[in-house]
Amino acid sequence: MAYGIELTNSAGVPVFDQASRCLRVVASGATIDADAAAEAAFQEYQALPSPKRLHQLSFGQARSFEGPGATAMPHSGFALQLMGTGYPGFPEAKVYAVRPVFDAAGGGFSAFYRWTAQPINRAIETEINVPGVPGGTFCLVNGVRQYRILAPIPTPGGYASDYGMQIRDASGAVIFDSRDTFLAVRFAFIVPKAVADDVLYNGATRDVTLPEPMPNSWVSVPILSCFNVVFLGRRFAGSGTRRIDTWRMDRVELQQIDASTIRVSRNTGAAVEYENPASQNPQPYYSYSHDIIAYLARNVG
Amino acid sequence: MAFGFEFRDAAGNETLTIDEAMPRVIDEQRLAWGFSGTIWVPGFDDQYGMFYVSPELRIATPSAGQEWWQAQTVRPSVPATPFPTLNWNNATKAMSIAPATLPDGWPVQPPRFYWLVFLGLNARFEV
Repeated sequence: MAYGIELTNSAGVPVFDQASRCLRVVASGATIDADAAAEAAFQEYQALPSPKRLHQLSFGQARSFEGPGATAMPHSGFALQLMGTGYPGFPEAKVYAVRPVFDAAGGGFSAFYRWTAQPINRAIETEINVPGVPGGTFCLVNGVRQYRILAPIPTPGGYASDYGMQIRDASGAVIFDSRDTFLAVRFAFIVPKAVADDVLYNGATRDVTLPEPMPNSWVSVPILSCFNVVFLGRRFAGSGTRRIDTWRMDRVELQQIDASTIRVSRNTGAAVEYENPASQNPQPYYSYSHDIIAYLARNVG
Repeated sequence: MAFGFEFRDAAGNETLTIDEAMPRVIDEQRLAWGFSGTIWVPGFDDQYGMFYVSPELRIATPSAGQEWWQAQTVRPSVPATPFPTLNWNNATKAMSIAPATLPDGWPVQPPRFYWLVFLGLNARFEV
């Protein structure tokens, strides 16, 4: 370091690097139940008069819908949110989505969640960059759980006091302000894809031992989407042209089971029936897994 | 406190201790989904940080005649996306990136862009 004050922690690692923006808490609250919201959205879509057109957002449980022409689509509060109107080729489109956990201008946001009795089996953080839709960060997780959103400075301040400590980078931009609220992010770890595969396909369980007890920790899983669609059988109905498949979707899930352990296990999905239209090829069955990246923060307060 | 520093909030809670580092954004880059190559992030140390991919959302538009099929599949379907393969070399501070390939039967197209975010923090541990 050519100048200034360097603050290092007990591991000899700089606490601030004098160039990077610190993450501060910018929002907190409780998530909605994505499954309930998706089901409500589906029912509302089904209630639309024909012809109806559906546009499916590519991630998580988010879905958008386009009513025909100027027909307004009904939506019920939390379940659906009008995200915008019109995009290339469909200027009349009304784009709806299941309401995200957090939606704000800018990027670089990270969502941390409180563990609950319900394991986390899917999560996503994605940047919205769709014409006609407000941009921002979209975070989604299964279950109803407390969340805190971290975002880098600069973000709107709204400070109640005018004292404390600021750190600025070489250009003069504030990268730390002691008046912000912080979440103490202590550790990160990766569950390798091979482990996720063993859990997903073989039903194995893997316990991750934390370096120290972290009761009431917060977890951030930017992407968790390890799943396997399992074909269970097919039956024919009617004149034989109705093909009804039965399948289930298994998932990899995470759960903190005690202060020092996070369990990686399989969530075996319920059997679902799906009718293949006669004019369509059978529903493809597919699976996917990936390295699972997780951040852990200790609880403050 | 025997030595060092501590940060506390107005309620007296320790928000930063001598054993911690502030979480911070070391770098973030927006890349095309099919990007293949290497990027360098000199300020990132994977022993004290972690990176992740944040895909940009896109809308998959079904073609005419697919509306009903899509409507039927929306209930059980939970689409995701294949992610690029990332290899970080902590010595050279280089991230080599190979684009994702679509598995057989993949139902949706990947997004066009993604953000690669490098976070600095206290420590990383191995599973």
